[in-house]
Amino acid sequence: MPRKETGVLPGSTAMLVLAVLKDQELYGYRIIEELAARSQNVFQLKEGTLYPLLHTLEKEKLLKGREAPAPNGRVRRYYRITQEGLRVLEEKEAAWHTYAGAVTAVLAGV
Amino acid sequence: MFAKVWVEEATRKIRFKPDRAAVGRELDGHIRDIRDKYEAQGLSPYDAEMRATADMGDPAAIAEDLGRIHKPYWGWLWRLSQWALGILLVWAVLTGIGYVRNRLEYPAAEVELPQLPEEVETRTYADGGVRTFRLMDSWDIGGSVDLGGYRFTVPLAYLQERTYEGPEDYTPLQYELTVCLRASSWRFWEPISAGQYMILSHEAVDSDGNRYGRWEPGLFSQETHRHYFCNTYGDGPFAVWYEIQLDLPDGEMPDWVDIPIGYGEERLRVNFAEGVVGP
Repeated sequence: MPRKETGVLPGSTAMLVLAVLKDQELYGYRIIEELAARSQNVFQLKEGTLYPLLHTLEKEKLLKGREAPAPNGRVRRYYRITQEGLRVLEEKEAAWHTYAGAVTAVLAGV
Repeated sequence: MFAKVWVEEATRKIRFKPDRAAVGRELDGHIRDIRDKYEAQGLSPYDAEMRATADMGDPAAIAEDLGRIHKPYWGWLWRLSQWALGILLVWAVLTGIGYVRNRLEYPAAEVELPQLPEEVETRTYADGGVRTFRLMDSWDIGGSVDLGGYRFTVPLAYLQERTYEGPEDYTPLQYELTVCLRASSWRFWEPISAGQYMILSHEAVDSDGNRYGRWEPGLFSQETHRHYFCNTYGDGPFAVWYEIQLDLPDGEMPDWVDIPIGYGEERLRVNFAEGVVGP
């Protein structure tokens, strides 16, 4: 059973959500599914974490949400990344790679 | 917990109602998606819903976070700015339509509205003659008259003495009474049928039995009528002003003047003695 791991680095959950939305527009339920699928169930985001995060990112204009009718007749709120969101994602990715590289180097005993 | 209860609990700290409703719809949709998944796995609708809301977590905890994010003043500020923009756009469109309508109906209509003139004004003409206008009297006319779907008021009325010095042999002394009628209606798209040409096609009469008409062949002549003229001014989308000038050769002010409106069937009485306009 893989260990559930989020928030290793401050803001890393936001980075994961932004990364999932980098190339597609998704609603909350699908974001959780997509994140779980891409991480082979390592990241299983809770709804109680996801929605406050989505709404915060939208308020910071890193995401843009819109309500639209789904094929099954329900109204869903779809999120897509903004230009500012892409820029922040790049920054977070760079910080993550530095961090991960440092951890790997420490573990390797270099 | 039922989905409805869960959503209400989770959104209860969002004080801006439109936001609360939108977030509620979003969370409700999420619960339904989880419920569908459990139903597809064979759970009863009741059990599926109970499992779905349990998966969503503690609604009280999410309520705290959502309440902190969705501050009410941002929502109201946003809403107010949208209303303000909407009102501004509507006003701009109406003003534009009113302006175009006035231009089409009265291509020569003046832009600036008439005002009470100075005590003394002089105008020099091309022939070298100088006309001097002296303000003799002015009136505040109250009241309004509803005629032909329009509301008429008299925002301005005054009497001027008019003298001339120059090469032409004009009447040396005359008095001119100016009465401004304002016709307004919410039906901004309609031209006012009681317009300038209608006013000028009919005669006005005063309390002393004098008659005023436009001196023109087929209309009225100098022998039977005193001179009478009308200018038009556009006043935004909802109103037009008619500046009506009546010659008073002897300067004797009548108690009232009846002005023709529309096709001459209606009349509007401007009563200077009582300071009121009436039918």
